[in-house]
Amino acid sequence: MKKLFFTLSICLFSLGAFAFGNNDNQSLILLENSKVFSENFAPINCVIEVTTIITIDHGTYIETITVVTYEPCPISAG
Amino acid sequence: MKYFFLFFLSISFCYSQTGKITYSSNLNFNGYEPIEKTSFLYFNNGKSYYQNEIDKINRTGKDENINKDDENKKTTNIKIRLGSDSIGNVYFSNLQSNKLVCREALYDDRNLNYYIYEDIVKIEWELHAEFKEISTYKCQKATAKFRGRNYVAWFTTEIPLSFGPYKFRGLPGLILEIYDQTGEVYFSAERIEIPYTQANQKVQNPKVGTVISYQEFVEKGTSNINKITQAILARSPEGTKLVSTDIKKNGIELEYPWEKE
Repeated sequence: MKKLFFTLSICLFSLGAFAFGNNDNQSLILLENSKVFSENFAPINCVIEVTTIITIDHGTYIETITVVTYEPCPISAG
Repeated sequence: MKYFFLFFLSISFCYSQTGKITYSSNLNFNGYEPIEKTSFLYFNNGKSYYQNEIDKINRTGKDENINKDDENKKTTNIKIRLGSDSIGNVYFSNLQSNKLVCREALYDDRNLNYYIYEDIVKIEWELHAEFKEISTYKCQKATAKFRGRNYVAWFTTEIPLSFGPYKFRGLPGLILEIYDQTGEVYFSAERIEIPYTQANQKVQNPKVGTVISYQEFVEKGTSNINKITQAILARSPEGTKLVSTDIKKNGIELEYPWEKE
């Protein structure tokens, strides 16, 4: 009985230690998958759609160039 | 004998007459601010020289404003106006060689550069039995399709010169008014000075600028989109991805001769 209790205690301790050790990684994964800003990290799938419209007046004709880009969200200072 | 005399009179008029026509032009392209300009057509000895009024102030400039549509969307509007140098845009016609030499600007590598190209423009005019008076001159109506637009022109055989504003030419008399059916392009003669002896000094083949073909000129303008896209990416934060680029053009000419080939 004592042996069984001892073995179970060791197993639970090891499981706890494993879970605790991976806590940081799990937090990161959660952060990466969410769209919520954290204090130090912008989620990697957070982007700003930037549309730049350039109109050039040549006098006898007008050219309009539209460029659309995705900019990563700014990382706020932590 | 009578016709020979009239023909001789018309030929001698073409090659001896000097003049200056002041046109006002209004280019009102859909969705853009109207461009109003004064331009001048000088002619002598079967040659003409058409030039826009030189900007007294440097029109070249850039306006930029940024609108933040929402947290994850923003729009930047940049407006670039091309001014002119001391010569500006020139369209030089020679009846004898049947040639048109053009001097036009491109905003290339952040500079205003002028290029010269030669273009023989043949416009298939249809004459109509409709007449009206412009500045005491009896004018006849003519219609034609030119590079994507349908035009109505009013010309006078009282000035038997086949010139007109911009690249318009090829009628049996001087064009005093021309407009396209959409109302986006409009030229009208405001002042007619005949004779105008100073035209002799003015009517010269423009030689200042790099000489390229018209097709090269247009392609050079289109290739600027790559330079502009690269410039936008260069000033964007690291990790910026290009999604799309699009170029639209509206002007006096909507089609080019080589596009039909």
